[in-house]
Amino acid sequence: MATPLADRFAALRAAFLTSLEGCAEIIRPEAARPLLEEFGAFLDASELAPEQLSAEVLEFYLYACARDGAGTAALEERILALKALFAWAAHTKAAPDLAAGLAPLTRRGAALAELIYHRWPPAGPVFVPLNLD
Amino acid sequence: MTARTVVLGPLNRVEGDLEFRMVVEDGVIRDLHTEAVMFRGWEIILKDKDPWLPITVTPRACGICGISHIMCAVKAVDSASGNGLQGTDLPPQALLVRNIIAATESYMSGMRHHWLLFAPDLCNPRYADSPYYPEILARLAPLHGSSYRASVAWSKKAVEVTAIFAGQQPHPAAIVPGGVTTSPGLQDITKSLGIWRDVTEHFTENIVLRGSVERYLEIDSWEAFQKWMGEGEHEDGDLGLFVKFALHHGLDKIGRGLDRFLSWPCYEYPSGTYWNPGGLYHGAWKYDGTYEPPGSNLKAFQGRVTEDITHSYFEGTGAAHPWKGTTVPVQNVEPGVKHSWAKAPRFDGKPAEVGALARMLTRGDKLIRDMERKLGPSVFLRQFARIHELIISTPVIADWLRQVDPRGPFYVPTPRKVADGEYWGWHEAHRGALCHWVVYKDNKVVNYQIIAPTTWNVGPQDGADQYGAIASACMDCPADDLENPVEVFHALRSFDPCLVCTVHVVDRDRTISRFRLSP
Repeated sequence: MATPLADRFAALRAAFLTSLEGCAEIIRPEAARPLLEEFGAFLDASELAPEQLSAEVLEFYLYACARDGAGTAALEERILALKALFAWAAHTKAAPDLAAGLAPLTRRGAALAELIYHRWPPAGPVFVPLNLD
Repeated sequence: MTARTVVLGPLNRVEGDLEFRMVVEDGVIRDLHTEAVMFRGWEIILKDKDPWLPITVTPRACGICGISHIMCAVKAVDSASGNGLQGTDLPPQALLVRNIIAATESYMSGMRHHWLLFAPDLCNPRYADSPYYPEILARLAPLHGSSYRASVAWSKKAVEVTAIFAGQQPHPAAIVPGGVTTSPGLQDITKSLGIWRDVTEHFTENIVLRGSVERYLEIDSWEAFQKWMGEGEHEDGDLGLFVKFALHHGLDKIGRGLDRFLSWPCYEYPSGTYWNPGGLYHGAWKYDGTYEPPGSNLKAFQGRVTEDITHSYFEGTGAAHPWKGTTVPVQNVEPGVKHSWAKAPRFDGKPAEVGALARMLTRGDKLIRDMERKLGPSVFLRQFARIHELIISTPVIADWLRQVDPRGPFYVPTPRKVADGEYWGWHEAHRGALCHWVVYKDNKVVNYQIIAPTTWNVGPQDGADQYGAIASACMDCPADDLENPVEVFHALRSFDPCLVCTVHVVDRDRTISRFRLSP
């Protein structure tokens, strides 16, 4: 049985992926689904309570991926999937944008992040660092 | 046939100028003088200055090994500021981040040395009939070869990790007495790990090895290496291609040199041990394969170094330890008895080779020690060791990145006043042993002497007419074609000579400019 946090994230993920159908110009649901499922499994294994989910947890998840051998491309697609989900969640007021502080790793990633925030505008300005790759 | 004097130069592809004055007879080099043709003046600039100034000034000696100079300058101050000898009492995370900064810079330098500075000579028209020539050109031709271009791109990626931890590259200022000024966050570490995975996979494994680093690390002898070459696509990687080419064209039989190697301890661990413990190695090919580690008395070990100026453009003659050394340029710089702006460093009064091969031998690397014993030192082995070091350090750097803890601490406050006395800071630059020797008095630099790696290798003969490493190696080479002495180029460039921190600027015929350095 999944933890309460994993359950709540699964519901958030499902709603996000449903919202993507018909407007997949930025991120395709079939590409985002396995990445977000992987993050859901990480949350489940972490046994964190729902109120403990924070930006630092997202950072640690990506760090764990890197420790396990993920290269820049694999990390970048996870960062963008999380940025898209949480930007959508904040825009629809389903959850705060915990991924706003995640810096894309490449110039292309930074450009895609700008598109994400154009699609789901944040309440306040979000700084997307430009990395020179 | 009469002997002919030939001057070759400028010879090195990286920085600074180097010339050879060779006496050639019947295609054999009878004598060879190395001539560093520019004056080095760092010691003069630093005299009577603030003890912390060398930390800022000496890295400017070079845009390639700047971090190595910072490491040496900072370690000397650490030693004089209560942070332990060579800074070994610093917080473990500070040492770890210093190691990452220095090792990634060295990695970049190693990639550029082989693919950009050494390998172009393999494209020399002399080899046009070689069965490997088409493939060599396709991969290594300057500006066009696939591996040449890949090395530019991937060495830049590697050094991005340096910049993440050091704030910028080149010339970072993040390494300071007391530790480092950066405190990396989790995202910095994540990004660095991602980059390092890319470098490992796309360059080291796909281009260099055509196989896994993990499998390569199992190789512990020359025979095991040859077996590895026969597996899968290994012989098609850049390492495999180099080995096939080098053995086919006899690069394993030229440029043997001294067979006496020196390296300084480098990459400190909190336990007081080092990734490379350094030391002196007498090669098994020419001597007996004995290794002498620095031991616990590091001060005594460095105390065996002298610099001889008999044939250097400096006032005086004979040898002195760097703490007692002087740097007073002579006025007459016409080549004669004195013919180089480089001094001649000696260890126990004898010359030694420094560089990647020396590091691998003093570190006790099984494969390289076995190859040295069976094949002897050569252009081939020197270059093989450099590529080998790149490969084996890939997982080491990844492991260090995994050990970084953002909670630190990365720094301990360090007083701006140093204790009077004699100190030194050593490190292994990519090109070999680098050390700064300094004497402080009343919180000022009284004497500052740098012995750079290329000084060890390219320095002239000493008062006892003992030749340095490069001269010895090049005198092993045939010189049939004086218009295109490619074997001499191979031997010289296998050392990756870089003159910029060995010497500095002068023009023989006129004053370029005058600068007032202090009131």
